[in-house]
Amino acid sequence: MSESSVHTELVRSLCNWAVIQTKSSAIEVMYSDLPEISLGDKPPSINGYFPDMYCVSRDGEPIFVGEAKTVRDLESKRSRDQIAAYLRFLALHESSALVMAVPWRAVPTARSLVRAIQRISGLLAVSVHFLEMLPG
Amino acid sequence: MSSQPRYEQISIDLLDLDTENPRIRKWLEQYSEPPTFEQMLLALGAGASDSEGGSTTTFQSLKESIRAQGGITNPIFLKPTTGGRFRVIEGNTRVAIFRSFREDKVKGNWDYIPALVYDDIHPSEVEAIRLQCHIVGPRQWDPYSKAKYLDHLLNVQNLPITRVVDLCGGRKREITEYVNAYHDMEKYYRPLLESDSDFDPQRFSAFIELQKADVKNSIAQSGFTMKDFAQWVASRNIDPLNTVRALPRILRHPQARAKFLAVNAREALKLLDVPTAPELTSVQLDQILLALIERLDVLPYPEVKALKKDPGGSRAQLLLQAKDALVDLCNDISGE
Repeated sequence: MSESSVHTELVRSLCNWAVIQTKSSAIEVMYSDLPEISLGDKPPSINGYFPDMYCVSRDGEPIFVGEAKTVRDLESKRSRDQIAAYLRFLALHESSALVMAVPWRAVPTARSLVRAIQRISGLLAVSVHFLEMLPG
Repeated sequence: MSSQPRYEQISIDLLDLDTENPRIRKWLEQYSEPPTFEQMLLALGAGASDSEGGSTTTFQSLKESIRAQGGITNPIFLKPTTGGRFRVIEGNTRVAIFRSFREDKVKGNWDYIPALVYDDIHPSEVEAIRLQCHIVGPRQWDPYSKAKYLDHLLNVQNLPITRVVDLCGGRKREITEYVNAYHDMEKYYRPLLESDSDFDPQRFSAFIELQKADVKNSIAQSGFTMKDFAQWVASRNIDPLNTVRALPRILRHPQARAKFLAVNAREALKLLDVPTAPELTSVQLDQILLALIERLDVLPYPEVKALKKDPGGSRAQLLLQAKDALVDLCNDISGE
């Protein structure tokens, strides 16, 4: 599977996960960067970066910011900056979380990377969820 | 395949090396006459030491491994030609090594080589075999898995290290570093994690770097322990992993050390770096890049040797930082 197909599948997993969460929470709108989604329903820019999935509640409060990363892309400077930007944004909104989708073998790397960014930027209070057992 | 291959031990005297093999064709094109065996051997040696996607297998290490094992485990692939002879589809290097061993009277039986013979093979299937062997290639084990296996051979199966070194084609220092790095990671890093699912084999290269000269000493001399080192790896104070080599310099420098403990090695190194020349800040990126390329092109070899000798030195570390930044940017540009 190509890098971009892996990424698309990871984004799809983020969306599926968010749909399941909808049943127990107040998600109103979900924006995603899937190819079949029209331009108007793509996620908005957050501190200069566009996440792969974005969910808001009925009262317009952000609930989830989702980011998918392939193994190759995970450790890049752009990825680090992106994650830091989302964490800064989420720190301003209670009851929100960053959701990360990476291939299963990169989950420990992603966990330590996000924790380090949280530690360095003093954003340890933001909750982060890692999807498990994703292919790629 | 159009026919099932048959497994046989074939006399190496009946084999013709494949001069069209992509690995060596570029080298053989310089000869107007058909190449001699010596020329083929040179070409195979040269071609096999090319960088192959991070593979460290060289002609020499393959040769040493075959010598230690007394043969090969993967059969070569052959196609019958005329007069009872065979063309090598895949395995030129191994055949050349067998022949050179026989010529040099190396102990062992080098007259026959295990082979899969394809009696009726279409040219497109020959290309498919080459593609699978050299473009797709076998999947390399990651460094942590290699180290774990080496440890198993040495400390569970109790194979003598000389035997393991021979089977790996030499490289005793590399093997010892791998096994020691594996022990350090298991002893100091794993116990720090909340659960085994947090274990990140990608962090292994930090423990490999830890085995390099002076790193352990400088940690101890600065009043830290191996447990501290493992904690730095886990919490990414050591980031990127190649900054382990710079630890002696960071730990000696009070401000850099404080920055390292509070943030990470990347930021600490900035305090050790040579300050940017004021006149460079107004120069266009293109000009800086061109100047850098020109400067690297004419870098005298003694300077390269000095960099190699001291990979933790400030210049070598700056080069590695520049490489990381360039690779990141280039990956972004090419959309990878």
